[in-house]
Amino acid sequence: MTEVQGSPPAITAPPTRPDLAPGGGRPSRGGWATLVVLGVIVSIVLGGYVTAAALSEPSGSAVDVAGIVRVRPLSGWEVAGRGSLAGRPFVHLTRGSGNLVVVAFGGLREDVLSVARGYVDLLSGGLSQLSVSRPRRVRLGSGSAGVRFGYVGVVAEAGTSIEGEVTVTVTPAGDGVVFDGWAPAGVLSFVRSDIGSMIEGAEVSGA
Amino acid sequence: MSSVAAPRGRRRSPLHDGRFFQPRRPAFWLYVTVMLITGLVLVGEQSLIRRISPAGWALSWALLLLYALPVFALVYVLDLHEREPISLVLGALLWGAIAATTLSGFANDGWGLVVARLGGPEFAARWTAALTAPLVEETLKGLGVVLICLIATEEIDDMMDGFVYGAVCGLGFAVVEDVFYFMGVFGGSPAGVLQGFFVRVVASGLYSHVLYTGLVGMGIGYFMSRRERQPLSRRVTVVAGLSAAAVLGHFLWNSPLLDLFPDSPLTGAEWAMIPVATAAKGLPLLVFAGLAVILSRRRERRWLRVALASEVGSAGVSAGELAVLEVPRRRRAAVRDMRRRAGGRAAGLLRRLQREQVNLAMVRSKVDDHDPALLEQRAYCGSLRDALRAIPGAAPAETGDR
Repeated sequence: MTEVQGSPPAITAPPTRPDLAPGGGRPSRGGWATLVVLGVIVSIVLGGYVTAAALSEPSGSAVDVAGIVRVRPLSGWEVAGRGSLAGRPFVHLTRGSGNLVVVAFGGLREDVLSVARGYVDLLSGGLSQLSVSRPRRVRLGSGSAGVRFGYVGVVAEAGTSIEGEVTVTVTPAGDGVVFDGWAPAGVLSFVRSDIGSMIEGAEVSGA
Repeated sequence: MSSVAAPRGRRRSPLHDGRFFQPRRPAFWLYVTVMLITGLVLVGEQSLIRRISPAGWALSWALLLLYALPVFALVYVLDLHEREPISLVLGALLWGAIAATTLSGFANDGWGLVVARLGGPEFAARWTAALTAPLVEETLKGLGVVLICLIATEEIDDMMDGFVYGAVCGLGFAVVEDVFYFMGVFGGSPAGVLQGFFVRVVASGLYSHVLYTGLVGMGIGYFMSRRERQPLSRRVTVVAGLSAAAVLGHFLWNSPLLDLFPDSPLTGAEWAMIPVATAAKGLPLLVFAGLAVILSRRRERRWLRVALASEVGSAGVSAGELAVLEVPRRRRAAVRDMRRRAGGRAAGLLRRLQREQVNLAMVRSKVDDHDPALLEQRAYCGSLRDALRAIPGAAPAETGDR
């Protein structure tokens, strides 16, 4: 009769490894290595935001629109033009194919939602297949309340699809500002942060 | 009549600490903390996208499980000599699926802002995915493998161990990322999910994260397992080289280079172009990884032969057993033959003897000639062989020693 021992050989202590000095200290539990791993995780996850914030400093002087709003372009952004849109003054900032149009409205009697609806009407004049999201309430860096909505459409004469995000605010004094950030389809996400920073930093009179 | 009271359950080498639950290790707590935080985020995200299309979401998971289960099994059995503890392998899988995907989502967005700031929006639209995701995702997945290594330090014996942990980590990542793609990019409807499955799994499944992180894992496996045999500079060079290959492959995959993909919407024959387009980008790395795995397996085989050479003739292993042991095909054939001649119990005992002989090689390679663990492991193998020989019908060729 042959019988295998009922349990594996009892090994009371792990065998001595030849690479460890006899009577060597307590084996490492990897505390330092774990700290390094944590450090790398934090650096990778947050490093991009920190670096991007450091690179997103305003450059040059603020751009004034009709004395109602002042916007400081971030580095890389420049004034592409000024003019009027349905009789309202605007300034157009660009960086590559990223755009921010800032339209100033004085002496308003409408509320912010009415101004937003009016701007959608303006957009529909230049864009075909316009589709607009439901507006949501936001608060700007200047402290003024506003609404924000997104849109997609096709530039009628060029046939180019664009996507944009419009932010509208109206001050108690009756001044209003429309910030329209837009870019060709697929590109907006790469300028949204810049546009958001410039809107947050905008100074709206009477806000 | 023989009586065999064989020990139950699998026995692991005393040199291994192959459990996931190791609360004395700081890495265990870092792993758990990160997984808890990112797990909450992931549950919220999955709940959100499920609302878009419950049917599409369920179909996504069903299809991806169909893909993931055989890939998991294939990767798991690639390691010739020692299957990794399932708790650690699942730990790597879940890190890839939960922590790496969630952290990568945040990190990619952040580094995408940097690319957009430095290169402008057009450049960013074309290159962000190529410039951010490979470094960010390979690092975060690789750190999961590093954490597993820190939790069970002695479990990483060779490059193939690292490959297994890396590949399953990449598999977990690929599954969750694909769910997001199916729902977010392919529309989330059942038809869209099926299209996504074709593009991202059927046509691209061979080239994805499994491959990238498998390579990174091989590098980590080399780094961890050669601490006593190779200088630090060489180990760093190997892990950096394999990681660079993975990052480069991922970069090529995400970049506009070699882009043969037909424009959307796809029609008829254009669908057939998708596998061609994915092969153009992914095949070189697949070949590279395949070669690396073959070389690593050969190295494992050499290691086994060398480690057991001095044991041949002892109670631990015979020359014939070693000849069978070092070729997996022969091992399986010997077990099949044993089952045919002497039944399932004998086949199981032979399989166990083979496993313990691999453990004998591990003990032999780490301790000196007179170490008690070596003597006991030798005797244990001998007692398994004796038990096997006592089973009627097993004796003539019970161990492959003909």
